Amino acid sequence: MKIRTSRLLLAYSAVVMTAVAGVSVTKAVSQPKVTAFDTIDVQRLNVREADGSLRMAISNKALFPGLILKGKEYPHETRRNAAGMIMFDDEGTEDGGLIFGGLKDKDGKVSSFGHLSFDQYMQDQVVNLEHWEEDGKRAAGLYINDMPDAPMDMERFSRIGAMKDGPEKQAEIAKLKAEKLIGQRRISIAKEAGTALLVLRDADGKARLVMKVAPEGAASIDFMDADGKTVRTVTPAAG
Amino acid sequence: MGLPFDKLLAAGAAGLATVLAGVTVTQAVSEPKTQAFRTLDVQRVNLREANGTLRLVMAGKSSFPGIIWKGKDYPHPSRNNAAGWIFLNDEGTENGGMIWGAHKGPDGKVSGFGHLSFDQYENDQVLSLEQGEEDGHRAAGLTIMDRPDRSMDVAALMAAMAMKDGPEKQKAMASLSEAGFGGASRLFFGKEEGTTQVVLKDANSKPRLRVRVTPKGDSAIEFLDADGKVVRAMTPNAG
Repeated sequence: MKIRTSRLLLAYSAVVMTAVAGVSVTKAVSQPKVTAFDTIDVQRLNVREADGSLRMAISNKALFPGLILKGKEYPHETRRNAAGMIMFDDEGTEDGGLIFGGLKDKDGKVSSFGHLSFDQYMQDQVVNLEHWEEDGKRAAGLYINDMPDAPMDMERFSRIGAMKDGPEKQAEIAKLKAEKLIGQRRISIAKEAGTALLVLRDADGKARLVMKVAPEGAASIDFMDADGKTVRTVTPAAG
Repeated sequence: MGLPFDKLLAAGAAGLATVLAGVTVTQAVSEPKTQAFRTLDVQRVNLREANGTLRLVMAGKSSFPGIIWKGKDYPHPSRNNAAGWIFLNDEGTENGGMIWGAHKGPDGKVSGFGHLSFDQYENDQVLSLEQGEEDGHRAAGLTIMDRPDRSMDVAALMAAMAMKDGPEKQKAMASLSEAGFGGASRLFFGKEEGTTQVVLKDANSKPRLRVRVTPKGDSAIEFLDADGKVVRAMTPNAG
């Protein structure tokens, strides 16, 4: 990394000058320049490399980006209600995000979420830390996932996402699963349906070891086989 | 990249017009001032206290800071390929960050990461949540660490880094452990080389209790001694 000390000092003095004496910003975009504000009010903030490539977008939901892959924007079918920040990799592809939102609808139902995730290269989230609430159900946790080796096929995902719910859509999703084009959850530490859980899964996404404590305090360690059958349970009293 | 510059120009006409035509900031420091934009395009955002102390930097890799220590920017020994956020404490010293980046090299090998961390005062990260891929190896998880009680001696690191390669430099780098660098990993939750695990470690970074599931589904809870030997293993059918 280049030493930036001189530039920082320069930048800092520019800030002071700006604040004290005022500054006119008339240089071309390519020249480094510092402009100072006490508060900026924006609907969307794009942070870019010097060559113009986008590295993060901080936005309200009205101007929120869709899914950007190699600089091309696709509609994001399930992320239409988020504000926050999207991260982009060196190649202009979504790389993660920190998003949040919540509202009470006219029937009094709350939907709410906070979500931080990091994605595998050209793929979906490998790490997600989140909380969500929907229609009275709540969950919160840290989840680590496997993602397919192949890059996400956005054309195909968009086509399936746009299909009407029904057996044809289910068949397309089953095909994606069979071709191992969908990620698998591998380990989670979470609270789901009131139970505190540690779940470790195999490469097929099947839970094989579960530690849990129920709301009323029942504690157990369960070992499961590949068919989901519990083959050993360790409890305070037995196992 | 094919970013929607046209759209942004249209969308952010007011903001861009302001930037291109010049902004005159003439208010005194003490008067709060607010500038409003619909969309703002920048390479770097510095968030500061009223007295100028830097608290947050958001930047692409071309404008990314080094290690900022009491307001001074030093070159970072390893962070040369990141975009993201750096958090700074009340004294203008780095105390965490959220950084990311990914690209495919000319050899077709992917290198990518997403990383959130919080640092001990005047030392390195004690908590990190991350995913990474390098040369076909993937890992993701939450790591908790011990760090030395003393501050990192940044001047000692800079002096060692500036030395010519050779035995003298190796000696200087090795002695950094007496200058506040280093530490011990105490807890890991996540996946490494396909195995999901929770590992609790002693102050020497030795795993002493491990809960794991392999990709094929072999599961165990293991107690280990200080030499790394498993002294008790609970599996689906034994222990």
